[in-house]
Amino acid sequence: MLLSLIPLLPLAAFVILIFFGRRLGKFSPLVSLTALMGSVLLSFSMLGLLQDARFAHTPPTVAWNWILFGGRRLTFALLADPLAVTMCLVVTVIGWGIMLYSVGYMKGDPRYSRFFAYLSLFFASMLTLVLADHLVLLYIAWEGVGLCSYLLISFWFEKPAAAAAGKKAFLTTRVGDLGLLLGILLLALKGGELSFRGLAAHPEAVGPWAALAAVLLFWGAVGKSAQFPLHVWLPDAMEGPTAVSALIHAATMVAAGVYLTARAFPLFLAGPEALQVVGATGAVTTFFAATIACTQTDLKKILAYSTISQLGFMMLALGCGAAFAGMFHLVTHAAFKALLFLCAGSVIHAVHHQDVTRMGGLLRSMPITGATFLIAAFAMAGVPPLAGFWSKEAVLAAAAGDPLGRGWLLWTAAATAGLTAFYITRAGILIFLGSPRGNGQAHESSWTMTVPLIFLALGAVGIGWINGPWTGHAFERFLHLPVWAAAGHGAAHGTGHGAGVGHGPGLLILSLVLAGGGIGLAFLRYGLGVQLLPERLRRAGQPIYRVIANKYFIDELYEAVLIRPFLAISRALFRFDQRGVDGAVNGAGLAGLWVSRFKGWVDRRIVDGAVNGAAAVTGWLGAGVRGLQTGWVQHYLLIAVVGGMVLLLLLIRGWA
Amino acid sequence: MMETILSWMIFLPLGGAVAVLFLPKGNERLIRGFGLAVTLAVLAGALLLWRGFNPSAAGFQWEQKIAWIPMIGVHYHVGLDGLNFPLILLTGILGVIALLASHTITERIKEYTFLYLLLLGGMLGTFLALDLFLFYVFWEVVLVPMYFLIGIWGGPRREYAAIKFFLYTLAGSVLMLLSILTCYFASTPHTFSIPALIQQGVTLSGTVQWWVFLGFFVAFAIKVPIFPFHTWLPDAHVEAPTPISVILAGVLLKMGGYAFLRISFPIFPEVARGFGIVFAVLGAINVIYGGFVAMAQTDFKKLVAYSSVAHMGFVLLGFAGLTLTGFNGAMLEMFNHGIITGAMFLVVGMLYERTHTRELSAFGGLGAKVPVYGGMLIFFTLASLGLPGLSGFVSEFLALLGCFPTHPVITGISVLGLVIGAGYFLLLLQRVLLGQMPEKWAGLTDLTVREIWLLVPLIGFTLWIGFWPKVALGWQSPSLAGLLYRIGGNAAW
Repeated sequence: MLLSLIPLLPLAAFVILIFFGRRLGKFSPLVSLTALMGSVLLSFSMLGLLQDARFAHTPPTVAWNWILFGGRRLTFALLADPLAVTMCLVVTVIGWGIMLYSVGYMKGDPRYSRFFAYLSLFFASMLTLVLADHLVLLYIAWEGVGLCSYLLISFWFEKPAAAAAGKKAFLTTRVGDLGLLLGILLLALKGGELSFRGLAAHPEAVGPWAALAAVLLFWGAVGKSAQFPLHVWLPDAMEGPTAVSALIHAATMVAAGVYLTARAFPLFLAGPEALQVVGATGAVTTFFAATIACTQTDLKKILAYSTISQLGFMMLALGCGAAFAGMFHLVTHAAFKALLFLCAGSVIHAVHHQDVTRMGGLLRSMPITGATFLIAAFAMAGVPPLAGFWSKEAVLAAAAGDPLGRGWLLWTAAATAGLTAFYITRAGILIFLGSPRGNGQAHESSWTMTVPLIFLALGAVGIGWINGPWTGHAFERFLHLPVWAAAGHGAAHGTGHGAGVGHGPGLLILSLVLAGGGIGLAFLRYGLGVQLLPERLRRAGQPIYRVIANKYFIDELYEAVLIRPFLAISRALFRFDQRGVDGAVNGAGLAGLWVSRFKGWVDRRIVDGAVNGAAAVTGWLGAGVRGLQTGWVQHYLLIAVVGGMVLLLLLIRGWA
Repeated sequence: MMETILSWMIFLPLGGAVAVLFLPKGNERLIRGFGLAVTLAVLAGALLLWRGFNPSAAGFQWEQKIAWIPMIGVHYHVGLDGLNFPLILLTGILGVIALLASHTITERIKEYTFLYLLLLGGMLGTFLALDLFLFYVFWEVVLVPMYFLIGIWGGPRREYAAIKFFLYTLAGSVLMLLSILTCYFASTPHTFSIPALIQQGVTLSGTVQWWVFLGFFVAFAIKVPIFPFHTWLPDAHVEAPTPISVILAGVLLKMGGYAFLRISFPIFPEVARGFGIVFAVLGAINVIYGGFVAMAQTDFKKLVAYSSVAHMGFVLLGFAGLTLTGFNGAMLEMFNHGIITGAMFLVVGMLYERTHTRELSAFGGLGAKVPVYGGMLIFFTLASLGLPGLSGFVSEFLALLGCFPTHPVITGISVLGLVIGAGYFLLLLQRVLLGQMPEKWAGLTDLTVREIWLLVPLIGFTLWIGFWPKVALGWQSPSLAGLLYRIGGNAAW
């Protein structure tokens, strides 16, 4: 079936590159790009199929039995429903652009073909994850993308920081994966469906366990989408090549948590308490990461915290019951954030460092990079009519229309929107405007890198229009995601009445004020050098600033209360194993040894012949064997056996 | 010949061992070639069994029963069903691979081959025996060659390790013998036959049954190994030569888990049901404690050895649930662990031969220098840490799924083992492959073609079961369902 080719084509590319990569050399990207182009075209053909009325209610699918014994059956399926096809298009189309970019970006790397092999494996896993209609299949792909993330973060493994970052990413997300796994086990135990179609059809099957199961699944999403408190791996993941950061750690894989939540949304609606957790996690994450982003000076770190913040923004929307708003922002974010990263890569390629305070004035030497960066930045800030404006407004509308009336969600979202505009403008100004502060021999990157920038810039401008009011909110109607109908009571399907549609003038004005305010303040502060706060207030705020600039010391906290105790326990248990458990064993052995030495002495003196006999039996095995003196052991145990048998007979006589 | 194929498979290596004694000592190529021919014949037998094996047939296939010591009712009784078929296949595969990996053994080839074939025959006999007496004999046959193989060809502390292994196992054997004799005397008519004992049941009071079960339990627990009887394992592994480590981890440990399914559970179904919680607790301890201790290791081989302890914990968890899913997970985990950890020990050995050290702090950055080796190490490490898509995940997932309904809290705690496992294995990769390479390894050479081909079949099995577990599960599931029915477990889950 054509559907299964979407992940299989990149998988084939991976296999080819692993075996023949070294021979293919600089032609390796051709294999990956061709295979992925196949997936792009197939994804579009699936989109075409969905327009066909026949597939409107029965989307294309392919199923097979993975496990089948006794009463247990795990039937995996791939499903190309609107949500999955949307994700497929995001992954393949943006992914193709990033892969093309990598051709130039990775040029000259000693493991050039290996890089494209890993990328292909990533696409195979990610597309399986997206198309999976079974939680276990999703879990398999979920860890698969985690593996690729690990391999690609540690791609330049000679750098100790890269090696450590890969490990940290894998371990932190695996802590999240435990939740996903337990959620699957719980669903299975309580008679719930493990396929998403089944979950949507019978979300109430697990009864009161729905909320707990949903929270457990969400814990997996927290790990993958780098939500607080498992966000710590994503900033470190920036050690990987920038193309990887754009693809995996901005546009696609980290969005998988949001996607899973949207995918399993019927379950969340069946246990609405879970949405409280989702909303709160999203709100905390989005605001707190945005504050950190304002203080960083490493370009990629700024973007990493920005990604965490934006993912939290999506989660916040989901927590308000508005799956569509979250997904919409996911799509636009994928475009503008991938673009921001690729621009960052282009800049880093040119100036060979990542410190924004040592850049400046690059717009003149890198006009394409500069222009596309500004487009992406304004898109994220929410400047109309760029992509981010539409989806950000949808999220704000979702928060405003929260069925539980949690006002603080709206204010957190609004504050974050302002901060976002501020920090991304700050970065843009520091990099591209003003006079050069570092070595100024930067020049524009080659066409394989700038073409993807322009291509993604088109997306960052226009992708939001697919849900413009003039299309009658076409994207929302296409996705047809469930929405929270009333405060905690059941679900309905979004057909134009859901969140993100009620764009009242109040919200529109708020949205514009936030974007304009953030951009304006950043321009005043970094463009014109105006101090925004009076001297006294700035000095009073220094400690707070230091806490934020140090990422709230969360890494240090984990190091102290989790990692070090963990390693200490490990060493303590090993000592116990050696001295306690093995000590007892050696003690027993030693005691036995003395007993048998004594017996051996008796034997040698009294029944010499027996020993000679035993020695003769083993003798032909050689002198070394005889040196091991096994005779005494067997004798000793023989006594034990005989004694035991006597005891046993007594025992049986007594009881039987 | 097909009717007696099981006996051929047992006695070919045993007879081959004897035949080796008559080969000229100086002609090492002949001895090696002969050993390889015998192991290949065993593998061929296993493949023939694969072709003819019908998993859903009731009872035993290719069963053979001959009176051996009629006076006390001892029979030579062998047969094949879903419980031992996967292990026979595993033994056949690893038997050949470990022998091929024995080219690094250069001293006293004749004795080595003799003991190796003896070991192989003993293990096959243990898996195929359906008579307790015969089972015991083969169980002991395994012990002796293993003792010498570690004690003669092992590392610096080989004598300590060998004696420790011997005493530990023999102590268990004594208890097993007591339990076997009790079964014999408590059955009417007196019998050693496992199927007969299952059918008749043993006429013992509950308390005595408990003690007898415990006797078997300790004997098998030492082999598995189950905490706190595991400390022989790291020593034995560290000292054993590479091919023997492969056999030890790959096949020998499975004798314990297999014996639970073949003997303890069906003969004492009521005790087995009561023991579920014990298995669960010990399984969780094996998984978590084994993982923590593995994390603290600085010796490459010892780390892998302790990881075996953790993996065996999943087997116990699978048992503990007394569900079909759990039993399938446990059984498959034994097979998968044999393949994966067998390969891990090969990979450890390949590095040791080149560097003569296993100290993890001595390595670093080898990934760039020996990429093929690095790829192999990464692959089997990922399989070991239960990466989905590879075989280890399937069995661990089924074991957890099977244990979950019966012991939800303990299962919930045990999943932490997955993070711990990922922790020490990734730390391992980091220490060996990543970072900067010390100068002294500048002359390191990558894997030879021979070494690669030793690992390729194991990669094949790991991928095959990871992606397509249906077939392997199909071998064992009907027999396990029958066993569960007998115990009164939950065959529907």
